[in-house]
Amino acid sequence: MLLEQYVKQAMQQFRESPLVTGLSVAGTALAVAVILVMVLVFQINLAGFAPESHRDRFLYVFGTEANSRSGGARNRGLMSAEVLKECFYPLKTPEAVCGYATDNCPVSLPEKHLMREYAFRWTDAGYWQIFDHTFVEGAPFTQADFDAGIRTVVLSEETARKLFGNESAVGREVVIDFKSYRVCGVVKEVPNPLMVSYGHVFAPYTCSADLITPSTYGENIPGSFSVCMLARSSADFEAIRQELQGQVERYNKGKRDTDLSFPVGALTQLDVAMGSEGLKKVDWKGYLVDKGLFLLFLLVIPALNLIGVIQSSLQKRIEEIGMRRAFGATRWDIINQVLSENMVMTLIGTAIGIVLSIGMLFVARSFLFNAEVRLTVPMLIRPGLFLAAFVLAFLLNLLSAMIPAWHTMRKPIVDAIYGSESEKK
Amino acid sequence: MLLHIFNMLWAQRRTNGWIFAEMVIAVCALWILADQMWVDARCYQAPMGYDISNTWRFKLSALPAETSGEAEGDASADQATELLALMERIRQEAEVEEVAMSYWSMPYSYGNSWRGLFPLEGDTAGVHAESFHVIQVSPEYFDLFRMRDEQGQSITGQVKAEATPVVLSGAAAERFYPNRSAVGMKVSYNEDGSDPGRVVAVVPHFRSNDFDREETCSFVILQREVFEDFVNGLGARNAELCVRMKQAMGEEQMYDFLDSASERMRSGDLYVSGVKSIAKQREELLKSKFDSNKQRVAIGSFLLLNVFFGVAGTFWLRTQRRRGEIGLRLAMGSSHRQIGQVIYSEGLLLLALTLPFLLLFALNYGKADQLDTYREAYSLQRFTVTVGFAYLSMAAMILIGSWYPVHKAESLPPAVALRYE
Repeated sequence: MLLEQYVKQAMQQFRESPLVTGLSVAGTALAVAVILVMVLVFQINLAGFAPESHRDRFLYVFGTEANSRSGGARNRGLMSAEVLKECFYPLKTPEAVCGYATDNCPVSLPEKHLMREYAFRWTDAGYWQIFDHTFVEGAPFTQADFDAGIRTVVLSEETARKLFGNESAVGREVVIDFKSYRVCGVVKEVPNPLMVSYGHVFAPYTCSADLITPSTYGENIPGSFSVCMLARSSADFEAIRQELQGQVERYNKGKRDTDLSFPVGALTQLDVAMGSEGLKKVDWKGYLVDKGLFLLFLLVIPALNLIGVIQSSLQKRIEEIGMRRAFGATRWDIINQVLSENMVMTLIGTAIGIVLSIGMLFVARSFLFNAEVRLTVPMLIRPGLFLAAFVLAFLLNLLSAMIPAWHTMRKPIVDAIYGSESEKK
Repeated sequence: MLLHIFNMLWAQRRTNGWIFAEMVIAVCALWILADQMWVDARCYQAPMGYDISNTWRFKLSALPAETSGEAEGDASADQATELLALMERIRQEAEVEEVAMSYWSMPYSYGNSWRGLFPLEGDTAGVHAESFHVIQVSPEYFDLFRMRDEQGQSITGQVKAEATPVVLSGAAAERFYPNRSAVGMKVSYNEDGSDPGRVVAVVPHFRSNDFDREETCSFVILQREVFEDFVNGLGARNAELCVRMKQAMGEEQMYDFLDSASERMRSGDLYVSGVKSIAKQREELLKSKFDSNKQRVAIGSFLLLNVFFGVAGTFWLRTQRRRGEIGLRLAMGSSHRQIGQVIYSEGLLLLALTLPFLLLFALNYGKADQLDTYREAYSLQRFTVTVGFAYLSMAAMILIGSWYPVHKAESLPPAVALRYE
């Protein structure tokens, strides 16, 4: 079996010069690990896991623009509750729609005034259809609670523990802005503070006077809300965008002097993972040029190392190769042999690199994401990681072994047998 | 000797070529990283002009109308008086040293509003209006953040004594009145020169954050009618209430203090609803900058580690293949030390040969306007230090990488080595 032959050859190589082989494997592992860290970061920003399991069907609307038709002020920011109600809630194509506003507020107990601030998500009942938070106890607030502005909140597990210790939180009272709210549920902590679903306290925004009181500024278009929609399938994205456009046109007819628009439209999770924001859309081309060049740079440096080493070790084996050629091996056979033998080494390095990359991500998580991010198995161990690793191994092997193999193959048979280093022109 | 080593490198150009190419790329990348970090470090080291230790920002809220028992209409009637009373009340607390307020102007606020200022007198020929970052603060702000004028005097007192005071940052004063004192000069925010103010002090340094350069700022002093106009116009609860405590306090201690004083932390329908240390605000604002520097260190380490792998691998293979030559040299009277020196010198000479490539790259990089000259003008010092750093760290890696091959070559007995000839 040929594969067995290659593995044997690789083992032999290792025994002969453990230092150089070790260095090549370490170099491969390091390069693969560093690039996989970037892959992992991208994967964490893209792939679905609780409470955002359906990211592949999400559409986000962040950036909102209110433009005066008569050339007056222009406001760029988020949208008001009115826009949410008029343009998004009536949409028929999406499975669910939610609006949310973020804030930081203290939460007190009836008997005790407290100052610690928590991350708030003021939202609606649709939120619980889109995000699959795991409830430790209780249940989300309902559409009826939301419609009537009944003061109910869902707390995160840690928030509940800070406020109530180890006692059950459901049914208890908390005080927000001197108003009493009933705790209806407790959810597991969201692993990444940079996720849309992250929060400590989730409450119906109909309870916040600030959020629902109409403002005359910009004809009540600017506000504090962002939107997340869940499509029935990603094939519906275009239909949803079109339906939304129709709603916006209808809405603008009712405005005296201001036009509502969404400068970058509805963004998919992929857009967001590539760095799109409310007013800036990063497309594939821009992303690839930006990241691709950097990745290539990260790959070329170790490849240059490996080329040098492979070249040197092939020079030592030039007689062997000469013999093989003399006994009828074609040039492609030689290239194939070099690439395959090298692939064994590269694969060993890649396997180490996968483990190393997860270690590196743990060490670097505070400056790649946020100190509070919790890296979980479903975030890290995904097919994409292994696919990326395999592609990397293949690329690195090609980059590093192709040139030395090509050189060796070109050598005249007689020279090769003689093992001469000098090249006859 | 040098020529001799160069000749040897040239003879081995096939294997040296790859490691050389790697060195060129690595040294150029290291230089870019070093330059970016140099500018960041220089900015970070420069004086900020204020001291935020033991300072906190109190967040304010207004009680909902139904809770405060007042009709909603007159709730906003006198927010200025309420705010002033609240500040005085907080100042009375035994633990509190000073209280000040500002609008989008506390240290590390995200405030960024700029406004034209016109110099009205003095020999300002050729000096027109300049747009300055306006910092809107109450007089106590300067004492609270330990900001003193160029003579080291307290600014708060000087500002309070003046009807329409203006304070400029050093960079702003330099724009209007280069090489002479700005104090006493008249300036106005209006093109027609109406409502002039008098510059009463210059704050030598002021920067919005640790990674930015000196900023041209004019301080708008919120006192008396100006205070009332601002507070009633912008709302008392949007004010940044800055407090300096007499002692260092942790977050929990601060929560405890505010909880115990919560009855006194109210004035009318205005109350203290939250607190954050300004040090924490700073941390949040600077996080992305710190993160990108850590990422640079990570990339730099990756490059250096690769150079180490490359040098160690290539040189080891080379020493092995050249055992014959080493044997000959030993037989001809070279000492073991000299053999080591040849290998070390080969590595270092290879590195030195990258210099022309780096210079060419640096020149093009600079020409393409990729260097940060906004925060720091390019200088010989900056070039020397950053290039020096790139080469020294590379040289260190090469020496460490060659150590093992040298060690092996040195411990080779001449007779054994000659056998390979």
